[in-house]
Amino acid sequence: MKNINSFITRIDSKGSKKGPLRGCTVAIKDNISTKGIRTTCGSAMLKDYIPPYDATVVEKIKAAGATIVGKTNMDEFGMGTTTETSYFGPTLNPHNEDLVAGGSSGGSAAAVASGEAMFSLGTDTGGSIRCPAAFCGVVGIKPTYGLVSRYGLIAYANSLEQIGPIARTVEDAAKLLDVIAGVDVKDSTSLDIGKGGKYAKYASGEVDGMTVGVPVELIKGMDKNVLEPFESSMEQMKEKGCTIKEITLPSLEKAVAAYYIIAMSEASSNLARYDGVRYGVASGFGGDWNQMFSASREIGFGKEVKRRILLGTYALSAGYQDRYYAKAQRVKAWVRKEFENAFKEIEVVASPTMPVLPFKLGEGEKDPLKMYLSDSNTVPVNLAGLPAISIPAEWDKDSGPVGVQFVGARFQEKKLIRAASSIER
Amino acid sequence: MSERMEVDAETVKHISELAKIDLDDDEVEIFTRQFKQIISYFDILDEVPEIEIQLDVKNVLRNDKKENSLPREEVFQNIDETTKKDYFKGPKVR
Repeated sequence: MKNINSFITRIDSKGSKKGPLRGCTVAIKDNISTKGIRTTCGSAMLKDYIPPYDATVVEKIKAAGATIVGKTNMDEFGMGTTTETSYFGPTLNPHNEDLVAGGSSGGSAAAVASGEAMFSLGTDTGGSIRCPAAFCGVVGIKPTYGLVSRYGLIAYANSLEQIGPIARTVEDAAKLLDVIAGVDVKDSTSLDIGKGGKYAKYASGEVDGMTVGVPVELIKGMDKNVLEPFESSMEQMKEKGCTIKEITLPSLEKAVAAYYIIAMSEASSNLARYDGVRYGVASGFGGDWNQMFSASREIGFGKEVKRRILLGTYALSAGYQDRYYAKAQRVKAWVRKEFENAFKEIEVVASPTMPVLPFKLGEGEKDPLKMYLSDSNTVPVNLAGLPAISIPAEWDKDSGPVGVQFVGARFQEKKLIRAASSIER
Repeated sequence: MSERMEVDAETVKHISELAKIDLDDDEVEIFTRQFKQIISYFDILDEVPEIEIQLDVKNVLRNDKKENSLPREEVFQNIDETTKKDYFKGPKVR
């Protein structure tokens, strides 16, 4: 097989003989700190950065006996839907090398789909686990905000992101979630609810009596090649005793705009640390602080990262905060409230994970807004802090994989795992 | 609400100064065009219902006990290689 560029750094390590992940290979997204192993975030800015400590999730995976096989390719600082914004070049889709692997955790999903690793960790700020899982035909879980420690995750948008598992089966993804879930004193946003050690057993396929809501906002205008596999998955659930209900969540129409304003605003602040002095590549030490800082960031950051930092700076600048950031926060509360109300009558929300089939390589580069809009079905989950899973539907070999997404109420991962396992092939 | 100013090349240059990222002329041109498009899409937020924002937050404290900090040599392993050990190097203060 051709090199699909899943890895930025390969690691030759040995797991231990004990623990739930003994004998298992795990690949780790390259924005998760690994002690002594370079962690680049897919950026020239950090191409030689070596973290002095392990992220909490990495400590847990090592303690569970796993063999870590490498650090996976990603869109620069997690900013992208295709893994094409990586300084290290795009990851190719293992099912069709003319297609993208999705992003931003494209390397993590492709490594699992191609068999280069049994499990992987991704991170999801606005769909970055679920999108590549859908495009590569594997299973990805974005946990409830606070279920998994973010300590050691290099920040892009702290209020939205979570680390989560990618695997070939629902049960395996749940098994890795069991290992990484749980409160951590080093992450004050982590919560002591739904502790690890009990998700995998819910991958039973049992869904008799479950009520599933399908929001009209997430299926209208959808590509037929995506909608048909989704509808046949819903048929399968009906046959297994589920009730499928159409629901409406009007706030979702505003979610993409709100998501990008919040994520870009947080990015503009988080990425201020890359000044060429404390972190990052230095442009040389001529000029004053402002000149050196600005020149280092010109050479260290790629276009998409510059675009998002600048737009975030604009959204937070004098005169525009109320118009953009405050409004976006209001949409965030609105989305959360609408989901909360919906979960009084239904147990899980279902939709296609992505509104489109996997993009062709190079297709999105010229039109960033088009790329942003393709996140319509994934970003509401991050705004509301909810858990979600993406699982492959039955897809056509010629057009590429299609994912089905289930969303649950906070800390209801077990319901998602049950729902997803019911349509697993 | 204040009317939004049309985004032009001067706006992009001004933001790039605030964000401390130098841009070349091509980038200014491309970003001006793209920002116009993206920011006008954000106008979709002009119509958002009043909603009460309830923050579900509480203080999280930990025991104030002594723990080992990271070894100096590991913390400084990423500094510029032309720099003397144990120092961060920056531009001259004038």
